[in-house]
Amino acid sequence: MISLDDILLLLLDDQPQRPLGLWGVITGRKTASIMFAGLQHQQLHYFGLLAGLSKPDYLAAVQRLLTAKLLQQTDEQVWRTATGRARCAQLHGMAATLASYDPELNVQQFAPRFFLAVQVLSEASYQQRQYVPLSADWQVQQYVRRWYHGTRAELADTVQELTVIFSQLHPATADYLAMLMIGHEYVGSGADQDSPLRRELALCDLLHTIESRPASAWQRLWGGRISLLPPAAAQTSAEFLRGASVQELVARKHRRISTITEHLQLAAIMGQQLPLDRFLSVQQQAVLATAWAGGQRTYQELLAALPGVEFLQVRMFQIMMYRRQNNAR
Amino acid sequence: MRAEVAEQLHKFGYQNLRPGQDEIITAVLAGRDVLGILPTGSGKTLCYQIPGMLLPGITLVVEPLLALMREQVLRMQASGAGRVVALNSSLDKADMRAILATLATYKFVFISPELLSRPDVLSALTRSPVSLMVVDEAHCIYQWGPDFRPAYLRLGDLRVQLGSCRVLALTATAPISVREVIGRQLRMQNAYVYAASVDRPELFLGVEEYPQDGQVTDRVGALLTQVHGPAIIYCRSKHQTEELAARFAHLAGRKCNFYHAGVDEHSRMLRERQFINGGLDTLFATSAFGMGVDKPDVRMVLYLGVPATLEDYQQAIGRAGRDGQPAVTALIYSERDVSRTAQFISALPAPSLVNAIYRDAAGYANSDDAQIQLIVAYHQAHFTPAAVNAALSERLTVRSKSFMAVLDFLRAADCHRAALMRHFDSEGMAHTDACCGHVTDAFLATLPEPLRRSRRDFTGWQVIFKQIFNTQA
Ligand SMILES: [Zn+2]
Repeated sequence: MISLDDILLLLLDDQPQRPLGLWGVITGRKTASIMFAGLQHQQLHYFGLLAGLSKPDYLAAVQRLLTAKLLQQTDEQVWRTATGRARCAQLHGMAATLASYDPELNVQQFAPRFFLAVQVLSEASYQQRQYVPLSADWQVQQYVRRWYHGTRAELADTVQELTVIFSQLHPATADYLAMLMIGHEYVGSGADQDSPLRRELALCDLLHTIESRPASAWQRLWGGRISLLPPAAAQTSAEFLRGASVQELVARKHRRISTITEHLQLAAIMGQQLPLDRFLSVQQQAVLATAWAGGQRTYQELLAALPGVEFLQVRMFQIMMYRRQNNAR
Repeated sequence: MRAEVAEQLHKFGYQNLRPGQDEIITAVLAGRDVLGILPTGSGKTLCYQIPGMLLPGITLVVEPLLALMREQVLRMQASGAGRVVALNSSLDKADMRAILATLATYKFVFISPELLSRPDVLSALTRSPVSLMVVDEAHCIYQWGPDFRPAYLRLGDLRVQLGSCRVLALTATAPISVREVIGRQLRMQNAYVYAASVDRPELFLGVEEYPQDGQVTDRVGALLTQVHGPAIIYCRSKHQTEELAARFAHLAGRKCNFYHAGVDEHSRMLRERQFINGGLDTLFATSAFGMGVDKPDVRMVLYLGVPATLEDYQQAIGRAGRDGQPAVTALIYSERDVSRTAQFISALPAPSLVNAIYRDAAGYANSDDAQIQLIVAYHQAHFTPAAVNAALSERLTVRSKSFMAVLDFLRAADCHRAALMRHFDSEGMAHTDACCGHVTDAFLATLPEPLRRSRRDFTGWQVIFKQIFNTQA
């Protein structure tokens, strides 16, 4: 059984952080402050991992970790204790399992489409036209219908392709996924230790395999990786890269300045190369770099080192530094 | 039966119409307004599915609950009933626009009452010919009923805006006073009313009270051992479903699981279909289970605790014995359960909750708490917070009246069935040994043995793929 407490302990940091930051990341909340916290604590990889986790359940789990002295707390910030770090070392198996998760795989959207596609192919294999589809969701049905009509001529090939993909999975993962399927006169029995997370991770394994076979119908069903950057933010960042200033973007897009700066932060956090020179002069960067090298990491500390600059300038510097740090790992 | 009706019937895979269906279909096709009162499981879908196929234009079906809507859509799709679409709050703006633009190409349009009054939806509907408006769960129109939905009050006006098409109102239970309200609110003219008896003579109506909660659980275990065949046990809470499923996990001859709104969607779907195909035969569930489960051979439904209304109870036990064979139902409760429910029905949402919901109605829209849902519905129907608070406190009186009816039923000295029928203004069978009261061994001995279907167990993905994709080679 994958326990929530263990997962949270693995995902939390040795550095203090506000616990709700991680909750925002794993439930997929796309705001600059949440994403920045995720970047700072190397948690962005788990963006959306537990989309359905409620805040009370999350906070209760954090409380249990505190009570068990696996976490410690001051000033509303929590981080792992030595015991917590030792426990994490024991959990390396689970850490490896979690590593197959990747938010860009878009597994949450893929899951219902995949199971419906299997059902559609199954019923078609028996020439059945009347059956109860496993999803009543209009979007899911439309998507799979379009996919199926593009695939129809080669039903046997599509099945064969899935068989090949499954044979490349770990046998336990393949068996588990098959136990979740519904098809013609077949209802999967589910597994004893089934959970939405285990399902999601198994489907991520499946998607990694599908990704390695770009020509298959299953690749088409999946639709490829997605960008975590919202389209509006991507557009703002593209225009910024073409030379528009923040003020020009505010005027051109009729958006508030806070929206534009939010877009730019998101873009930088997700890896867009926004030149730091556009935000800070070389001298200003040097001052901040010295402060950073001296261990000053927070917005307040950096602002004290360079009074008079604006929030976005300091935040962009922090984002660049954390990205560099994470890349070096 | 008219030839074209028979043709549709066969197309959907049926041989005969059941009592009530023929009368209702004939009246709808003759252009009359119809109120049909048909117990759950007596095939109300066919009452509009067949006219919908035969009439030109759209059949618009108003459904109060998302889950009901999904269920009906799936059922229609499975039977091959042409183009079906559900308009509800789960669609995003772009999809909604796409569907509205091509609305006339659909044969059946399911819709929530709240969405129906939205200007863009209404204008799309007025551009497409609607020939039949179906109001499912029509008792929701009754302001003081347990399932009241404020948006139902506007359906009469909306019907006029849609060109006064004929209307078919359907409900499982409606006392005479509620029937009148439905007719008036929907502005029915000279309506044809078909009221089937609410009674299900094949069901034993067990009622058993125990001093302690623990004895209730013991009794559940005894009945699960004694009765063979599929069983649903309605529990008081999500927690209780899990607790009992764990407790009886190793009961000989039973394959148990639990089901409630907190279980993720995929697992709910698997469990539902396992129960239908026999992979599971014992489900510990909350009222979230059963909406779309048309399983004929459920031999036992247990209801643990005291229901808040007889409508809730009737709906739950109605899932037993749909094959017409004897089945046992039992309301099993402890002394504490009476006060638990009394407390529950007297609890009013605080004005602060009403205010919180009014500030962020969207945030509460997906709550599965009935009271929160009602407040959200009031909000959507443009009630002011003050009006909501007033309406809610008036509902207290109604709720306690409903609860009194439950107590009358539990404490009926002569016959529980007679008390139930009195409440629904319906006729029932006369009391016999196979009627009601403490569940007797003698009645259990009359239950048919379940069919022992040989079920193949599949292990290993290769074996499963051979079954799923028909590649036996
Ligand atoms: Zn009786």
